[in-house]
Amino acid sequence: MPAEPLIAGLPPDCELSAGYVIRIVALDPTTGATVSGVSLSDISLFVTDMHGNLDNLAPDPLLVPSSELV
Amino acid sequence: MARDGQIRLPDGSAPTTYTVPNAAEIVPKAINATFDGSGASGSFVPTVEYVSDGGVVVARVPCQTTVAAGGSAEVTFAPFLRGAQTAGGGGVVGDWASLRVVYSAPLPQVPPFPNAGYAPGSFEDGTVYWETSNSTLYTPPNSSHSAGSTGIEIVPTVPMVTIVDAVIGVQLAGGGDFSTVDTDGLEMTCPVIYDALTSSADPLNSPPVVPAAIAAQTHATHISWDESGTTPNTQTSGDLGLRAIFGSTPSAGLNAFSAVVWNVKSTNPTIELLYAYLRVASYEMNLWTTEVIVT
Repeated sequence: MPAEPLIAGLPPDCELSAGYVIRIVALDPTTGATVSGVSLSDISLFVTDMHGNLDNLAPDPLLVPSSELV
Repeated sequence: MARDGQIRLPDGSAPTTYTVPNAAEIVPKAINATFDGSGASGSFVPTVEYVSDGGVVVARVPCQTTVAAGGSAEVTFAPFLRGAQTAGGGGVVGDWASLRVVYSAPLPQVPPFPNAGYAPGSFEDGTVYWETSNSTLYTPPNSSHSAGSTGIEIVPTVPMVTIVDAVIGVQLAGGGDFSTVDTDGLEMTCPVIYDALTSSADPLNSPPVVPAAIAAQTHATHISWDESGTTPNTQTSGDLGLRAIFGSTPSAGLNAFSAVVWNVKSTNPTIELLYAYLRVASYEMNLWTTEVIVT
């Protein structure tokens, strides 16, 4: 069945330095425990690299550079 | 010099992680992922977490909507996005309810006869699971919400747009996906909104309503119907279903009601019913049309 489109907030201007981890997880709404059996696909992170060195960011060859900030 | 870029992560099981590499410093601006809960052990909340290099969670951002077990969601996380909110007067935006029926062996089978009539599978034959994000807005049509539950009652307090999905899962007898199966004759009574549950047209007590009749029902503004007619059609997926969208909504004090039953006829081969799923989601109308991203 089609995936339901949902939106959620994200902390603005939160700079994550080396070693920090972004974790995408499915949590039990009651206990907060991780729910097993959930598959993830089409995962995309759109980020600003404060050092401008985008080549360092990609875990695979799928990095797609876009606009350059002044 | 700061630059924007997109990072794609490989598909996999939740949780999945991305570690900021050495000599980098990033500001996430949008995170998008599809959560497939068809194999989930229970309902879940799609969530993004930021974890420090010392392993401490510094931010946890849950989606405000719970996804039912078996459901799927494509979720966008971005600054200043806001999910479903409770509106004034008890109305809601994006709340939902579902009835999920799971069958166990021996699975109900539809014999290969074009006029097999009602398949032996029904809500009464399986284990019924009732889930909702708002038990005030949605109630099952009988209190036990087990045998005999074939619909969801909506008690709206504000004008809403309601979307109903009804899906059944089928497989070839003995297991396995079918490449093509003739689903001609699949019939489902479409969800219909009535002005009162006491209407003589209560679908619980009536024969299946044909699509043409449903289209003429009060408040039904759109309906899609894929498996019907006399010309054989084929399916290449295990899910068969329909969606109804109601743009004209009962006012406060009126009851909305939806029900689904099915009648699967199979010319060849025999198919088994695996599950049935009825889901209702409602959106307050004024917010439906003004759902905006504030930046």
